[in-house]
Amino acid sequence: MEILEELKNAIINFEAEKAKKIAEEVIKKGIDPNLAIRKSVIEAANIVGEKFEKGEIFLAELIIVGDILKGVSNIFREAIKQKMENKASYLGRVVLATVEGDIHDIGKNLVGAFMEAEGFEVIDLGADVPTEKIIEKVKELKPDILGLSALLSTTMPKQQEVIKELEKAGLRDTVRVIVGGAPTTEEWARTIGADGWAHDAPGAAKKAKELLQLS
Amino acid sequence: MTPRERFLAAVEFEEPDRVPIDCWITPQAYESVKKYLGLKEEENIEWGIMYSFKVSEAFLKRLHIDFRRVYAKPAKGYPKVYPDGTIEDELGIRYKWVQYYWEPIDHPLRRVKDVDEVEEIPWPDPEERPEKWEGLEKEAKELYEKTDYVIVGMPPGPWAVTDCAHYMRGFNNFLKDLILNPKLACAYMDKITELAVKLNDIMLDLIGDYVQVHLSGDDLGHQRGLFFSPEIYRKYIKPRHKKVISGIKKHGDIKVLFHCDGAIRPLIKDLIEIGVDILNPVQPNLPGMDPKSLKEEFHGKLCFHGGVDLQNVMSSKGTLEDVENEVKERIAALAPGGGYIFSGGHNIQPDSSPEKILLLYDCAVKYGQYPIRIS
Repeated sequence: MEILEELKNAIINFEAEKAKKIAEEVIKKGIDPNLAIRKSVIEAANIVGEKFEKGEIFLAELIIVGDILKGVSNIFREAIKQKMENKASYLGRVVLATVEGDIHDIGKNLVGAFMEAEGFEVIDLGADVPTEKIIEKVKELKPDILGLSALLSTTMPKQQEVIKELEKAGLRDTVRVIVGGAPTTEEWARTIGADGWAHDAPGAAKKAKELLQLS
Repeated sequence: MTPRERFLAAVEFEEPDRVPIDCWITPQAYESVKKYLGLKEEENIEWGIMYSFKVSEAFLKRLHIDFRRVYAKPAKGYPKVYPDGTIEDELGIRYKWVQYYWEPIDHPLRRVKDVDEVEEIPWPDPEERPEKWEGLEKEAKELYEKTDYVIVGMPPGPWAVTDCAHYMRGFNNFLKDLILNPKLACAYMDKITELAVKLNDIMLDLIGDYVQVHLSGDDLGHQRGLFFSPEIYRKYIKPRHKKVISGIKKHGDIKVLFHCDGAIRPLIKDLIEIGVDILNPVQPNLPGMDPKSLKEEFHGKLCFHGGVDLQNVMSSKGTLEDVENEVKERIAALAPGGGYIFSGGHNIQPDSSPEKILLLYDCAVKYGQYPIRIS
């Protein structure tokens, strides 16, 4: 569909206003928002993710696209909610947090934007989130994926603490844990018993799909 | 050789008696070393990087540090302290203490929408604060005449341009401006550049004859790449960096130590072009930042400062054996032919144990003797 192609191009060309306008038009025209997400938002997110991976675009562009993806997917999600009043159209539920003692949230916010674009329901607990609060929220919200971010080598051990506390609370088997952030590595993720690791936001969204066997 | 002679040889790509040694460290890591060693000497030497704290001469001697620093004094009434414990600096940036750092939480340029508004925020006037320079000349002169250490001028204002820009504007906003509203980004970067140059001028007019090194720097990269494209760097930032660096160099034969975190390989040639002499911190495990290949490409043009991996070896993940191997590997790669100053690949963090920090520095002396013989 031409209009969805146009929307995809607006997103990958960083045209925020234009993308928003087209998305609203898509809704007015009565096009299925689920189809619109698949054909514009997810495709744009994949293209941008690939470009970032190849070094063709940089963090600055990724932040801009992250904002646009968030805005456009919100428009479509709202439309889906109003029409069908169901949440079944999500791929799954993701809870995100930057661990306690760490206020850095740029990477975590990008992960949220890309996960949303891929079709997950994202609940972002923010930054500097105490371990107990994360456990409480996992209990309450029953997410499929828990994403834990840490920028500092000094706060990274909190990722391990959360996993241990999940075990103690008998919740470890209910949720897949993905860790990320500058000092983390795949080996670190294995050592602390996480289910997955990703080095950037598009990678984290891919990993989430892989863990839920959706890709 | 004296520390100063050692440094001057190394920075000219000659082999001194041993690798010069410097130390960038967080106050928490310093405290743990001090406690471990039972140091009781007076702490009267300013040693802050991210923010001010003092160490003792005994500490610097124990770690074999060849460098001493000269700082401007804080402006009267700054930082402002608010009842909720947050603080605000001269530029109007508000910080909150989180775990180990003062993290910026509000930014004076956050709401600015167009170029005219940039002028309207209360930019500090460098001429207005004579208290910043009190005693500075005497202090530098004494260090120069009575000691043999390398003397480093610490910038009294913005180290360069972009770090200050994102502290004042907010990180995401600044990166977005560079692409979506470069005119606005250039307007506040110009103000910051002007401020940095003016402050360095005042300071180096006083102490330029005594310092061998002056610090500058901006973080241009993250763990896996650059914050923005090399094209954006070259168009909007490089000319402003050049102003700051040539502003330092017009004060004499002063080497510019430029701090820049991250995987920044694509910009190293640019930094050399605009006069950077020494690059810190060289995070060795990042893409493109392998010390061996950096040395191969840039030896003779750029001196390296740092290179020790803090994210693995010096964090709680690393063992004492890892530390010794790390020192051997980095010195073997970077030291031959001079052009290397030993230091951590950033500020030594609170998760580095005192045993590891002491071993790190003792190994630097042990393996840093020229000619380098590491199998």
